[in-house]
Amino acid sequence: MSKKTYLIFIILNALILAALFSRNRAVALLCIPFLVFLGVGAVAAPRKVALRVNRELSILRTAEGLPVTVRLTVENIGGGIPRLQVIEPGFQGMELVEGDPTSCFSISQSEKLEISYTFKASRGIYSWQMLKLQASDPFGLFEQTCELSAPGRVYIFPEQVDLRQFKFRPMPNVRSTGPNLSRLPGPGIDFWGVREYHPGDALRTIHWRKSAHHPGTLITKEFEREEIADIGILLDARALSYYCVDGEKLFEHSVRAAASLATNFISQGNRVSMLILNDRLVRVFPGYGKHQLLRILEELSGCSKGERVSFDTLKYLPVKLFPNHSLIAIISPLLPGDFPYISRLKAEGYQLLLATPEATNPVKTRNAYITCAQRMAALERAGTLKQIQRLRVPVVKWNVNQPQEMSSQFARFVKVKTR
Amino acid sequence: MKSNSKTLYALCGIISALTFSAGFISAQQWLGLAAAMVLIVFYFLPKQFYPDWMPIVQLVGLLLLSAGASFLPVPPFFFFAGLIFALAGLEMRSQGVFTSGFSNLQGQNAYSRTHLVWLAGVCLTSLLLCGISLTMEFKIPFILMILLVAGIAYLNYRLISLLIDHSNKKRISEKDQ
Repeated sequence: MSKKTYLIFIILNALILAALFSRNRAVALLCIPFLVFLGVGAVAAPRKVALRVNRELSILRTAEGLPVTVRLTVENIGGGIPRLQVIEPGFQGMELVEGDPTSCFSISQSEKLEISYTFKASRGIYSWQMLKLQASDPFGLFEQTCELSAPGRVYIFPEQVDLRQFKFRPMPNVRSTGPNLSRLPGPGIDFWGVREYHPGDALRTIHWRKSAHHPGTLITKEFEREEIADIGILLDARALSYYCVDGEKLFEHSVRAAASLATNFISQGNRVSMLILNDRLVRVFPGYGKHQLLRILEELSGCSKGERVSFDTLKYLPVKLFPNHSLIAIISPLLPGDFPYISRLKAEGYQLLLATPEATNPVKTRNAYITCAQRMAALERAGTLKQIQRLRVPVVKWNVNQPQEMSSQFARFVKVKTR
Repeated sequence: MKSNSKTLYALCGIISALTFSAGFISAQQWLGLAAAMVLIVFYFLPKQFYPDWMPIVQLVGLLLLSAGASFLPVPPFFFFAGLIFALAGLEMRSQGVFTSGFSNLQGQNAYSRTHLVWLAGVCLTSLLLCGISLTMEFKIPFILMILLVAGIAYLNYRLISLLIDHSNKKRISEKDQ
């Protein structure tokens, strides 16, 4: 029975009691419409509900803000149902664009209904297991609820920025042909040097002009070997790092930066792995290509901040998960005590890149203590960044409150390095 | 279908207003007339100005007005008819006359049609039964009256136990979550 039925029962009670006390026939007759309403509901209510449902999603993986269409197929294998309501749970961050999944439908015997709705959502994994259906009489008085299995899952990937201008060249550490200059002679296209001809060298590599200067000897050109680099992305998802104004925004920017860097490095042909530091250690083992990118983006879709104390510092970071001498791209707003652990990573021979989002819009207040605290925090952060830069760790920082700042800062980073 | 529903909804409101007016004007109860008109004017408020509690207020208000008007020295049929049409309007509104959920989907249109047909049936039956009951004079024997009261008491007992069960289940599920 629904709330409406209870309300009608209460009204009927009140009317009958009023009629009895007032001894007025007309007041008692006011019950008739409600009784007829209830009677019709009881007569028209479905006796047995037998349905079959299916859920189809227009896409299984998509980017933030793009529409996703959910198509629900309901097949009636029992008797006719005058009113059928689909109860679809809404998720936080989900915005309905088209259609209404909670509308009422009428379905006759062995009829098939298609209900579709489109939504846009923010980053996350949206997963359904069951579909709740409510069958009742036309007025929704006597309801029967059934839950049927209709699984579905969609990954909403984080928004990515275009980092094509970010031409960061890590030192390669995998002896396999790739995109990075290795500072060693070998197969490649960039000129490296010359040496005396050895039997077996290709004729096209002979430096004819140089050979002319040295009669009787042949000189061969050497090229710089291009190799693959091992890159580890370390996303700091410690809740402590984001306890600040615009903390949520900072975290989203960190995730976006991780996704953009992963896309950029994988598209260059590097071997990329990822480690997310939140409640548990989320690890994506090193790999190449599109499938690896999908694995990384899927993990980033579902990642959230974690408050586990054991991962509150980088001290216990299992750095051995990253291959020796690989590049570790740390994406973190940084905590004041993080510097020693970053220097330890550097000392262990890892190449480092620090991408750090910052919210530089201070809270406008007249409270002198807050203003002072803000200034001190800013100074402390600037000091830590300076110390990290002294270790020759490239640092890319951007203000999350300014649009397009991330991509422009990454692009500017290249200009600074190539000057 | 959506436009049909809206027209019928407006028609229900207008008929309700007219019948209530006829009753109250013939009894020269201007205060009752004003109250009924205010309650019916709320019908035509757009969705954004129509809070969730408004149907309850309208229902209770109209019910009290109709019950009170039954004591007036005019035929109570006007008030009965007014109440029936007002209830029909409320039911139509609760099924989404003003929501964008109504679309060209076959199932939704079928539901809209079915709902309207059943609602029209309920209205006509109620009007007929009320009319007949008002014209007929009948006396309920004392024993039947006792049975009726006992039946109502039993129904109330069942209803209250159902409500208690429901609230207990809800509390347990909330605790589990």
